[in-house]
Amino acid sequence: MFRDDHESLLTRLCDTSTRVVYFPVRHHSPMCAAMVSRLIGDMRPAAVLIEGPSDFNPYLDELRLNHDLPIAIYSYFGDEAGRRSGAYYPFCDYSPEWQALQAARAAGAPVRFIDLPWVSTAHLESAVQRYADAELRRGRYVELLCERFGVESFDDLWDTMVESEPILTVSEFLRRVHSFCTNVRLWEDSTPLSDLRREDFMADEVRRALDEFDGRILIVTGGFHSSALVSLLDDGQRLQEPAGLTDPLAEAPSESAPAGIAIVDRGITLTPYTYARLDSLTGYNAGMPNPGFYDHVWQSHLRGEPLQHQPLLAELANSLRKRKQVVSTADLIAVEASACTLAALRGRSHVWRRDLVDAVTSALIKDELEFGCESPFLEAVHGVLRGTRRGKLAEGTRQPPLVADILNQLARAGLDPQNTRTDLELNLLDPADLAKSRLLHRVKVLEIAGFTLTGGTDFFSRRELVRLWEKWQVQSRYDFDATCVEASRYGATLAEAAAARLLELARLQQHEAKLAAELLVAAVRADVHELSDELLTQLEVLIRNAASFLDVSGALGHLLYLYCHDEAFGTTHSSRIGGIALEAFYRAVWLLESLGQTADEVSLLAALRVLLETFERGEALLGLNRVEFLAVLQRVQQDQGKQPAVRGAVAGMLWTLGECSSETILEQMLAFSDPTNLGDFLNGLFALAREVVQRNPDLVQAIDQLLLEFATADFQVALPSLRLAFTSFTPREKHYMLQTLFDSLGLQTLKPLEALAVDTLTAASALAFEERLFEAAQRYGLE
Amino acid sequence: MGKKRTIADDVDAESVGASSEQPARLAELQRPAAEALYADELARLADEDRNQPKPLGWRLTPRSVLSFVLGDASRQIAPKFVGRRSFLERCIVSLATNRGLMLIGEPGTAKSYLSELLAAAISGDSTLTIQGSAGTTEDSIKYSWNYALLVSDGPSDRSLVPAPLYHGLKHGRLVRFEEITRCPLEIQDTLLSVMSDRVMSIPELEGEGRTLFARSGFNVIATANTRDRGVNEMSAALKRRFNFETVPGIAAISDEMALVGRESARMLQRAGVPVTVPPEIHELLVTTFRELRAGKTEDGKGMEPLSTVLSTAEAVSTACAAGIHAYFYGDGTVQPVHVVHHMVGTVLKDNPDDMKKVRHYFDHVVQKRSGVLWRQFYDARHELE
Repeated sequence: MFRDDHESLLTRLCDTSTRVVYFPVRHHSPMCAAMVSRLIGDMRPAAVLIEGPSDFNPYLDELRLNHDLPIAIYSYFGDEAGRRSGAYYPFCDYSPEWQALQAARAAGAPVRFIDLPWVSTAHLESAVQRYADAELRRGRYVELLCERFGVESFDDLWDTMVESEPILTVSEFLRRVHSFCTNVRLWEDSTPLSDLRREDFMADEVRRALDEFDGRILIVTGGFHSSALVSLLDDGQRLQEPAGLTDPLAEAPSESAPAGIAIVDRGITLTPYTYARLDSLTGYNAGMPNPGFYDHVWQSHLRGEPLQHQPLLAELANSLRKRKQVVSTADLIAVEASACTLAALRGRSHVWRRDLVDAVTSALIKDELEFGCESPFLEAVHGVLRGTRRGKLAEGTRQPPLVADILNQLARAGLDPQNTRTDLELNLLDPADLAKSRLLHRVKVLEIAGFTLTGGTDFFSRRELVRLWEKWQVQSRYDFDATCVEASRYGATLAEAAAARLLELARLQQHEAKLAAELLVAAVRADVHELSDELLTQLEVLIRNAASFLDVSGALGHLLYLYCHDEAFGTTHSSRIGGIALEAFYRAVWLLESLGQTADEVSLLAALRVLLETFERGEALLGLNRVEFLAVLQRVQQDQGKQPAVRGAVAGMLWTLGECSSETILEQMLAFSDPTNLGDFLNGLFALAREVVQRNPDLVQAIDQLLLEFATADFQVALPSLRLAFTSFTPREKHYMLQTLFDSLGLQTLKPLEALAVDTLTAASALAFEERLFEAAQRYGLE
Repeated sequence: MGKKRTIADDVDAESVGASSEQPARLAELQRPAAEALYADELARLADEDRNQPKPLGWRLTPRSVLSFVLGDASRQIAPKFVGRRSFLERCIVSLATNRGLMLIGEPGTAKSYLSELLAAAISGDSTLTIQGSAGTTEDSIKYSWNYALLVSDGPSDRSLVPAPLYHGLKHGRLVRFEEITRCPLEIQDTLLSVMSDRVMSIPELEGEGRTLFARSGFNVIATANTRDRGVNEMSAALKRRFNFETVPGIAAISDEMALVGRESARMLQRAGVPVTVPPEIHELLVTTFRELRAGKTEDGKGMEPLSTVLSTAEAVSTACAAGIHAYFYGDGTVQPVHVVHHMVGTVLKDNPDDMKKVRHYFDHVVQKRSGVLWRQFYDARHELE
């Protein structure tokens, strides 16, 4: 039901004299953290109820250990179908929930987590980072306020309203945040079902706590829920009706999983977290950005000092100088001046994160800045604002779930590291061995100590694919446990962590599509291909933006292998990989058309072979467009600006595809009859039309004719590249070609060349003399 | 001055000029300066700011400058420039510090217009403009002499003919330097001492007149075209004295389509051609221009961006030419084939590499699009040959 009287709702929310007091938070907000500590100190409540997973209540004491933050509560479950799902509740020093815990402990007040466990809402929600604030970011109300305040986004709005206010009393804070959150909520027509169910559950928990504790109770929840809780607890009705028509699982909310989902494995535990991970969240999972900056704000608050931005600026200067960017003192003065002036223009008494970013953009960047493009200056400033802190669990905490998962899986596969070295040879076509290989690859991706791949099929060069095998060494190492715990910041299960680690590697790989494709192969070998959708997206983006033909065709080679030829990993005909291969193919075709001169002919021809192979294999499978491809090939073949090898190779491609006759090829070749070009052209032609060339006596004859017409000096110019061209063929093939030539010339027997009776120098000088003689004879018309 | 007119310019000048009552004198001008056109708004803002602290020499507070340029409904100020707020805040703040403001961007992104608005709001005068070109000399930047007076009286204040920079320093106003990278390097560097020491020396004069100190309020807004980069690359010393801001193109496709529709209709009307270019053709045209400009299709596939300028203004002239073509040589309905035909003339000019890219775009992107118009567009590709 819509509550008409906003004002009375707001008055109730801001009232701190009642038995139940509602404290609204934006997760990861230092101001909220400071305010909640102050309120608990003043109010001395009998109990503090916090929005956190209620199934963690038995382990609350674990949070009292001496952890290095950020850490997270990780809640996970697996169902009968083998699906796994997990969610994080991250805490950093300045999290209001964390500070509420600390303040409650100091005040001697018991703490309860009152939110529905993840397992009960997972089927309704997509956000796996539970302290996100997607619900506050959306909606017309936020847009309107942004316009009114003259800021660009919700984050800036929040900073202006709350975070960057130097002096804010608890009551003023409550008024602002309650009013903002309530309005955000009431301006929306409906609220997602999952939120309503969680609120029902929270209200039940509060009622239970009211029975259990004598005295006043403080409820610390996301500001979005406060008004709904008041409505449920005071009026006994929901603030709004659910968004959907009916609740699909309309039983009372409970801690157990919803009916119809059979949970086989379920747990909740602590795990280390990082600022980098907090900062990289987007979409539904986004929370407050720039944790490093807010950490700095919090530290200033703890010391009771006003916020100083100079330490951040100093850090920025260092980081820029480490990146070999020139930053003079005068530049820093300009940044400082701009930042202060911007802060003043925006009505702030001290420099805030947005002012710093803008000051750097304004004072340091001297180039065109395309929208969304990276600049080393901006990267550095975001790096400083992100912070580098990594969490660490205190000694004696239950081990993070990843460690248990790794040990479990290794034991099940009989691969737990022993003190003596075990050598393992795996046949990848054997399902049992393949499973082991996948497990080992995941462990390897996470750099867990004690597992080394020492040999096996090379899937990158794909030279020897007759036998698919791998050789591993497994041995117990002293740092095995440490590396496992270290890796647990990537995730709680081996699969998830390996995927996250690969993704991190992929993000570092911003430039080369080929290396990204190699990562994909690594992902496939570790069997995380189903999980790493993002990796594929990344590869897709790289391919779309790649500028080098060799790079794209290198990637295409890997993709084609996975799509068409892979026997071991089950990626054959995967539509996603096919889609990316398609993208890579067209990108490569385009880059071929605009290709300039390349020195590396060998790679170039290999790349063209990949292109031809992709087309031959993929024409039907991927639905490649023949007309379009042929049109490009023809244009390239006729392009005077292309180097002879490329034109020869493209002619060979057309010939192989049966799209041009041997006459055309002969004509083409005659255009390259210049001794400096002939070898290169033939090199290209032979590399791409190896089969057709051998079957065609005319071509061999024509080459023979051309060579006979060369003067000795010309022949010597042409010789090295001709030699190279004929290396495409095996000795047997060369013999066969010679046979064809002899047959067509009517020479029946093929005799080996006579051995020279004199040494080569004498023969060469005799030849040269003969050459001069003929020239002289020609000059005097005595021919 | 050879001031370039941009589309945004025209639109706003027209819409606002028509709504407010300007003296008849203004109506006679082809293009009045911004401070004359928006005189009441500026007066109102100045009045409101009377007792507010302002940077020395400024007519308005930085906040009011922002309102003036971006518009502010609560103060009844019409919006004049479409852009991100933080971008504009940075521009204004740069002018309040001791560095100049350098606006860079693709042609046709309304850089000059923005610099005019800022000068009008901050100094109340946007006419101190130096137009950069290969022929710009130091005389037209700093000062020159009235030679008759110089011969008869010797060098004096009377015989000195001030140029925009001299005026700006003396009266504490903003000086606009258009297309600075078109000037030879040594001419650009004339600004060095003025920008860093805020002083101009006039060695010909005696006594106090030898040095002209800048009054508060003086600063320089320069504009430069990214397409001219490398023609006369600025010296590092001069770069250091400017804060650079990239002026982005129009972000939303719907905004750009609306603008192209409005402007091409206006141009056709002025040309006396009773043809309307249908919105579907605008969509086709703007989509093609945006994709070729960005080197990326709307669904994110990469291509090579063209080296030719594909600004919104170029789209307008292509649409207009297509309309005229359809009227005189066709049945008066604009077809995709007209668009292709005029893309060659207005846009591609004589660049064979760009032609190759456009052909690739047709073969690989346009061909795969569904819809009658896209199909007709593809079928007209022979016009590119």
